[in-house]
Amino acid sequence: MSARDAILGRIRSALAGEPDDRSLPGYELWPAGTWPQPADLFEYFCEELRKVQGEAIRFANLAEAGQALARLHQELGSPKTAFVENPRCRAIVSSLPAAQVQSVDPAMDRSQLATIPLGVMPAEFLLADTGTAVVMPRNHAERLLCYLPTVAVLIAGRESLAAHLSDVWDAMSAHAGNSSHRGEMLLVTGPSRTADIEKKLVLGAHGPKRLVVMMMEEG
Amino acid sequence: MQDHGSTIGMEFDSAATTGLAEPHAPPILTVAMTRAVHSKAVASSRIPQWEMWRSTAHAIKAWTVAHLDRLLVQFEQQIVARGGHVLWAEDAQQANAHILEIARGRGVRTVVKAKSMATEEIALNHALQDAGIRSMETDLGEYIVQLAGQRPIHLVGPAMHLSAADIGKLFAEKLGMPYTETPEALIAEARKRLRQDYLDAGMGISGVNFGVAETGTLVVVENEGNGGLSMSAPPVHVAVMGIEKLIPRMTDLPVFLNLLARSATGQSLSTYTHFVQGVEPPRQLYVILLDNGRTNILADRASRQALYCIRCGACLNICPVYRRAGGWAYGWAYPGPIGAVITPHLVPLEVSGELPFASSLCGACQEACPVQIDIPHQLLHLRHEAVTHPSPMKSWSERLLWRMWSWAMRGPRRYRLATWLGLRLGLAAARRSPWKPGKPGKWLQAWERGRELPDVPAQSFKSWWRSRQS
Repeated sequence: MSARDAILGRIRSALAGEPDDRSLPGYELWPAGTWPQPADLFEYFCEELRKVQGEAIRFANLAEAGQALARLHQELGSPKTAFVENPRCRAIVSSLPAAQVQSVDPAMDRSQLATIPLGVMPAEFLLADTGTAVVMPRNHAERLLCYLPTVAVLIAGRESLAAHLSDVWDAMSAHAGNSSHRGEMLLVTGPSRTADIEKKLVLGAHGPKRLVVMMMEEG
Repeated sequence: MQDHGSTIGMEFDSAATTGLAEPHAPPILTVAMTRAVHSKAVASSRIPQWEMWRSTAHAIKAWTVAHLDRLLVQFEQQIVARGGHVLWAEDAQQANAHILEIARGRGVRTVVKAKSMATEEIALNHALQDAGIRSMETDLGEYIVQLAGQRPIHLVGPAMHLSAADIGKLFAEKLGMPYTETPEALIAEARKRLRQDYLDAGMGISGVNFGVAETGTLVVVENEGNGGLSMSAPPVHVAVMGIEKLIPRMTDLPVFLNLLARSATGQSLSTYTHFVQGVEPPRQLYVILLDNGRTNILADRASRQALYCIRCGACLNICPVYRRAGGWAYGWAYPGPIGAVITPHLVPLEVSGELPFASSLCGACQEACPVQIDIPHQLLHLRHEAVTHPSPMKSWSERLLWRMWSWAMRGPRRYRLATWLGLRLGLAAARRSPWKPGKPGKWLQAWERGRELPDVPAQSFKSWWRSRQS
């Protein structure tokens, strides 16, 4: 008998004769009145992200965000930068010296990506209540860009902002339910961290030491 | 530092003493536990619907376990539909054999491992090392205890018992770096070394926090980014998952994500929550579905709730026994109150039968448990099992003593006779060898370690009362 049949057989005999009368509960994660809807969701998001040592900045448009990215790039010593190919990310990185910037090629391997200190990628959603960004990499190289650079910049538009995980869960579930989507999606809540030594918080345990979220009001 | 490779098979009492022998362990553990309990209390107090979340999570897990066969088959189909492979393992040996076969088939020489209790349970590192494969723990706490040749002391904080100075000495000795006790410098060194391992490794191994049956999604929660790198950097990802880790649908997941982070560390959400959706070729994904005694828990209806555990560690942090004894005292992968419930089902009762007695039954664990596992009643049930099926570890003298006690307690006359006899015997013993505090007889040594034996009074309370009345 295969291990599969043996295990399933043991489960079936353990459950044999038990009435199947329970129903799977539905629930509302945040029932009305349990979370005060703030006037400014982005402010709330920023506050939550700051609590977990992340940075969030709001910009009127792509040009403003581009200037801010250029300043950050300079402050970091003008390192090599990789970005995920999409119109918003491309527009923002156009403010950096072209020689320092490359888009993430799906064929790039881990060793090549590990040499890039600054990564720029889109966030699908921003969740205000936890200061979380939802990232949906399209391929393996984009996935590694979430972890390998020292500084990660996430780009999002106002339409990405949601109060809770529940508000975007249908979209995430649909993505997960589509079997042609392979790889990974992830929730990122602040920069990589550890408190394994005497409970002292240290950032950049293995992933990015800095996480900057740039939100565009327009564009 | 001592080598605490294994305490399995030791009696809880001696294993607890071994745990406490680590010079820094008790104060550091106490501070860490107190902070963890406080963080969880703050995080949950901000959620008015906390109790609703707990009871919902409990009900979802109850439903899952009651339909486990169906859900496992569905989960398997979904993983395969997304390009992954599913391998089933009845026990640790089969699980390790699967992993070794995958590794050998690809000539893997280095493995990077994310934190996983299931791989701790099957002693995967030993199996890999025996096969000549270098296995690197990448969670910093796990990395530290692996360097020290120890076992993790806590589900969430494996190196919680070591001070920065201990780790500084360890890194100086094993990695040859200049001594420092600055956490930032120690972590930077580990980051640098492990970064190279992520780039070289032929295989990455992770655990799984939740497996979604409906979509075949593997959900892995972590803070360091080592999980993401271990799963993504090498060309092969092997995920080891206990069969009870399933949840039915994506819709059922948010409540668990919210409960887990708050209960484990007090965070609203962990830094990284990964949703692994199959694999893009030529990369490979293997999911090992591990039984290793879990179907025994399922078959024992009174213990079934133990399968609801989401490994947050909240019951450890609050437990007065764990806080004094430390994780090694529990002898196996799962420490604390939940360990005392799970372990006796997964390893023979002869070597784990004492664990259900390592509790004051105060109920704090049940209150802390985010999925409302009734740990105290599970412990009572296991105590009943241990008494009705006495293990060889229980001595004949202990059994005789309890039988006498049970006889004496069944009526007032018997009780009076027993106290009269006890008093006379006690007095006679005291006359023969006068009591010397601090120098107890050999057979009382263990009992005396934490208590002082009172003097035997010349008369009983009853006779004293009677003489006072007359």
